[in-house]
Amino acid sequence: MLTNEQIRVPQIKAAQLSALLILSRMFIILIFLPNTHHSVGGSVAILSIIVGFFLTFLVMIPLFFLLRQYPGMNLQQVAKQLSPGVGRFSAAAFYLVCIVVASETVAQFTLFLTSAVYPQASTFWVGIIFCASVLYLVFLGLEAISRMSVILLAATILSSLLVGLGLWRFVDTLNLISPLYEGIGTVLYSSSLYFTQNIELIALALLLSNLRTPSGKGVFLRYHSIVSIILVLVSFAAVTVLGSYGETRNFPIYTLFILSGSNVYYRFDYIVVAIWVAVSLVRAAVYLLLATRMLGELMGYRWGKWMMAVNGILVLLISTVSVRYIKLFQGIYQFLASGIPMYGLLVLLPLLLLFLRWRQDKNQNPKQLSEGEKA
Amino acid sequence: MRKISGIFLALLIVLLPLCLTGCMNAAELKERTIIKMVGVDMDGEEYLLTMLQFSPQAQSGEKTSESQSLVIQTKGRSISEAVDQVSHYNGNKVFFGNSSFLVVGEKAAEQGLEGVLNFFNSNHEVSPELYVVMAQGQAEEVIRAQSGEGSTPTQLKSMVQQGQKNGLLGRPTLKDVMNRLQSDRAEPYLPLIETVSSENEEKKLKISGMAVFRDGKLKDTLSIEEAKGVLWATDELARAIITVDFGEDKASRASVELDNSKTKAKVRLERGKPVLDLSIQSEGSVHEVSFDRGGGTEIGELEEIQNEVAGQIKETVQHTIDKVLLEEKCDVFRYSEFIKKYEPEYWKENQQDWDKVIDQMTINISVDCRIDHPGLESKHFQVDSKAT
Amino acid sequence: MNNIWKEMFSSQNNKKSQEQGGLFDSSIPQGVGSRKDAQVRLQKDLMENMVKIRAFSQNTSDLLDRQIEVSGVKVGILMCEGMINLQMFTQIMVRPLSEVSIPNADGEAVAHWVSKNTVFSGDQKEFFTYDELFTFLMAGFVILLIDGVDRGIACGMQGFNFRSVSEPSTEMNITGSREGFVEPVRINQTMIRRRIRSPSLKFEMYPVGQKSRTDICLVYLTDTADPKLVQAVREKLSNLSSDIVLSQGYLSPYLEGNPKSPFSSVGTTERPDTLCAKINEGRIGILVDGTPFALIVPYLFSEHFQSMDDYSYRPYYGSFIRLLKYFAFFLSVFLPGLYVAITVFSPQMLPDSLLFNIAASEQQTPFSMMTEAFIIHLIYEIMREAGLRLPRPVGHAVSIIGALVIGDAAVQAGIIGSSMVMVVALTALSSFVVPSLYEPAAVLKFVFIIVGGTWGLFGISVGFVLLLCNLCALESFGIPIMAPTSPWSTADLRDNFWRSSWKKLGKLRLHVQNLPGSRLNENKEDKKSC
Repeated sequence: MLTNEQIRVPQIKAAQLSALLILSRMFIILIFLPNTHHSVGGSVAILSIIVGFFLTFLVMIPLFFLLRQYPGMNLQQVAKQLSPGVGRFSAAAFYLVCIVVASETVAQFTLFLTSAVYPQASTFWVGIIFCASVLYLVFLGLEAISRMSVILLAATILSSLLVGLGLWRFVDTLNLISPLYEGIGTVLYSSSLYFTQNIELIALALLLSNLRTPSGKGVFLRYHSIVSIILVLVSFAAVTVLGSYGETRNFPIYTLFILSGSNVYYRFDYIVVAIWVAVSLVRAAVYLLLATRMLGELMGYRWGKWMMAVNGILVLLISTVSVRYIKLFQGIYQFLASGIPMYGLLVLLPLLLLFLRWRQDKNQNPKQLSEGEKA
Repeated sequence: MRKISGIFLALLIVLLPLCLTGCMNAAELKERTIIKMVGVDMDGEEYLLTMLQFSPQAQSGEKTSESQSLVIQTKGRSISEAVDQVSHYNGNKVFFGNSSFLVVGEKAAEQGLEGVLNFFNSNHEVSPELYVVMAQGQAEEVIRAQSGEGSTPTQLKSMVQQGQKNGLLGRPTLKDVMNRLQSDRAEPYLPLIETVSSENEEKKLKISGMAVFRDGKLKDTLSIEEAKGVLWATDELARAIITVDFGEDKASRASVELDNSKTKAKVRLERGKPVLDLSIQSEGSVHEVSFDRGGGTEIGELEEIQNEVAGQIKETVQHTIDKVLLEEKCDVFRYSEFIKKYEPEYWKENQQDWDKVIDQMTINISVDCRIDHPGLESKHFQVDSKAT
Repeated sequence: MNNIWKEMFSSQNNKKSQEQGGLFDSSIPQGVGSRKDAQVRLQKDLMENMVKIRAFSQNTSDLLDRQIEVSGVKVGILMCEGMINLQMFTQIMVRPLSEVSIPNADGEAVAHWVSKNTVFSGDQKEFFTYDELFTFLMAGFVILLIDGVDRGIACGMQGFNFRSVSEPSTEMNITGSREGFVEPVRINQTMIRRRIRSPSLKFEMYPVGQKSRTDICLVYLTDTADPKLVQAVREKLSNLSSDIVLSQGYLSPYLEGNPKSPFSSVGTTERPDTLCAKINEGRIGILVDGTPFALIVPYLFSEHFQSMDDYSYRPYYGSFIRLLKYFAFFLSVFLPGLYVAITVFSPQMLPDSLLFNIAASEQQTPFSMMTEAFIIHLIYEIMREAGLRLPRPVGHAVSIIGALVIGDAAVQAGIIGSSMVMVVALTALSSFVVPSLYEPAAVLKFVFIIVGGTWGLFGISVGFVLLLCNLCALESFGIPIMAPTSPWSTADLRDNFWRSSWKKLGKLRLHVQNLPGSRLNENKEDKKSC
């Protein structure tokens, strides 16, 4: 039986990890609704992203304080080292969250595809094709996925710039109204939502051990700022170009792409479908990979490849069922948006670990002191 | 590892033929009815859909000429129902992806635009840049005029595009109309297309003005002059030609081409009442001048022309705003959005009483016209010919 | 067999490098295939030797043996018919042998005279077993066996016929050298040696194939190539298990990277100048006797898009050509699939008039778009293959028929739409732009036609991502084959999507082992990857 140490850890560069996380996070623009919660329009979204940007920094302080003491290790490994019990528990929790996120990704994508692009397509088949492809990506491994994500991110940004140019003539700042129109409360609420939707931070915390050089903070900074800039730009475009029209669309950003092409490059549908296929595949693959790793942490790595297949089938099942029963889908979405996984795993867990470490230090120090006295 | 990845590849390949049975909505081009243009009318309680279908069968020879099109007409209680009936004619899938025009008949517009547009807005194939226009009378006539011999189907499209450039039309796209329908008070307007019969029974199309809506329903139709006023007031005018009389007893006449207009609207509150400051800045050149006397114009007279033009613009805009906004209470100018943006507090309190807001509102219009290219002909302006 | 190889490599001595011109070194594996009893040593008695040789070789007809007397001592001469330069043989060998007179001649004296007082050929060698005897014999040596001496003397006098050096037939270039490799490996060695006159250029010759004993030759620069890379190539080649090796294609599967991929991570070239450029970047070339193609490992994906001409053009044009090649490759793989997917699933992406034209031309065709694309591309591949294999004069006829069949006739007959002809023509043209990627492009094209016809653009995107990920996962000797692009390195990109001028390229030397993501630099662990 192989132990954890015997498995060659895939090593990726900091830039690759950042690209991977940014790409995975770009998935949010697929389901991006500037005005899901309020009728006020997307100005709130822009402000809340900026506020949420700083809020996230605040919230991430304990995590990075903890991880700085353990360079080259991820959050789960730190937990395992400090207390095997907490390590097992956290692995289980991470496993659960990763499976849920992967399923949500597949389900969201299936919904998008079967409502915006191919309305008559069967969700079941799309899910199967999608899951099989994701499994293949996971087989190819983290290194391959992260290498690919650099190329995909470059392509995505390039095509988004083209889209931006095409949209320029539609920009109408009249649609941009004061974000405080609904009061500061909505902004704060949206900001907290911005943090809780930032599931990629969990992936970041788990992938730190794969970095060639321990530079987690750099990755976080790069990832977080670039994503925030992208999201601000996207919501600005959505708000100014679509205005109230966006409210009538289920996938406003998709409409944005279609619009941008309609004059300059004819229709841009394909590019956006291609981008989203890539982004969704990468995101689902990353979380499936992490889920497999966490399951391996729980049950040993012996059945690694089969565990992957089992997880893939599990994801397929959950996503297929949740697409059929929209209530389950909403439940999953609510669970992720509620902040339980984010606050629980990225704030409470590090705090708990810091406490454990502090207690261990306290227990050790007197001993060392007494040993010193004896000597 | 190799073995398992091989299994997955094999699985993918096995899945392929399984999917061949058509779980996606594949449709060959020959199985599609490509609709170039749609007209929506009301026939009693039912929608009457007139569609212009691209039909390559009607062609002789190999070359495709676009003039051959068929007209299909269906009826239904909803538009989807009517569209569904198309397949009763030829068993094909209806395809709106390349439709360029939606023509709304007068009666359908009176029933409400939203009911007409909803189908197209939710259809995934339809481009948000679909032109929406209104027909004077029946939409059917406009569509039929397009299918007839002698008039090319692109006629309407190029007419609208040209009209947009010439400042006769705004942005009558699906996206824009939906945007206005969705907002609190702003109302859409549509260009009005008229069918004109010429001598040899050939039907031609003509832009004849603008239709304005209130609560999504047809309220009134404006003449071309008034339509220009709307565009002027909303900063959508691209180009305009204005002819003014000037000189001692207005005996000389000049045409000015304005090709660069900017309209700025600002809302402020004055003693609790909204004040809208509209400032229009136009730049242009003298196009054509005729004099009652020989010789040319002096530089001083250029200013006079400028003032005359500015006055005329102001008059047009004032008239349109008076008629459309103040009388008919249709906010095709989107001024409500300005109030919302600049005075959100006031808007929150008063948005329910839109009529009252309009009554309270004062509108100041200032027009500034500048003629900076004197035109090509040198005789127009003889610089200080009198002074010496 | 394996063990012998490994021993040989582990005891790799410096002697070999000094014998660059040498044909066979003493480290030839002891054991020629199945003739195990041939490992016995030669006897002193000439007659006994000759009888045994006849027996081992089953009296093959191309074995010539003569016996002459040199100063009264019987000497046997053995050679393979047709592999010896007869003129050289008579002038250099037979005449001195027949004219010499050695006082008090016995076997040892003659043998001493031959080995010390004559130079019959530059690679004259002594040997002791039948096994070696046959190896030398089959390689075109003349064998001298002297009565009363239990060893033989081999003199290289190869004189077989081979094709003269001519222009390479695959990698045509407008500017640059007109020389291409030829079949004999030794001629190829000289072509490389002439281009790199450095003592660090090293040839390592090994026989491979249980029966064929084909010579393969590793070429590399000792001061540039990573020793780990050289060792890894040797190890991989030692796993070779086929009986005969007739072309470079027999070797390349042993050198391919992981995982399975339609793209190869082993390059082939017919040009000595290309090979020299590659080994100067730290790569290893492998010459195979009997083919005019050399293998290059590790081979990056971007190298498929480089050609010798790029370097003689001015940089801006070279860069333009590079980008053009990438675009053409993309077209050759995706264009038919995209065309099918767009017309079947999302015609709204086409401009009105184009859609109307396509719709009109498709109206009369009997098949679905996918079948149509599949058929016409299949026909094209058949015609290409036919034109390739036929003698040249007939090949022209095929291309004329092809033009007729694919072009006008198929449209006239109503089998395919006219716009499909355009697509197939464009695809075919694009696939010629990057000839080394023709194989994957030809097959992937069909895959994407099916995928595009069944799942539309969604399927094509999924396929694209899987393909890209497969490419990114592919490693050749620890170097990711997408190297300067995807483990990103701006400095190394100077010869990738664009080509910098030689002022820059010459200054910053690229070595494969230093590419980003290369594992050759880190400590190699034989652990399972996750």
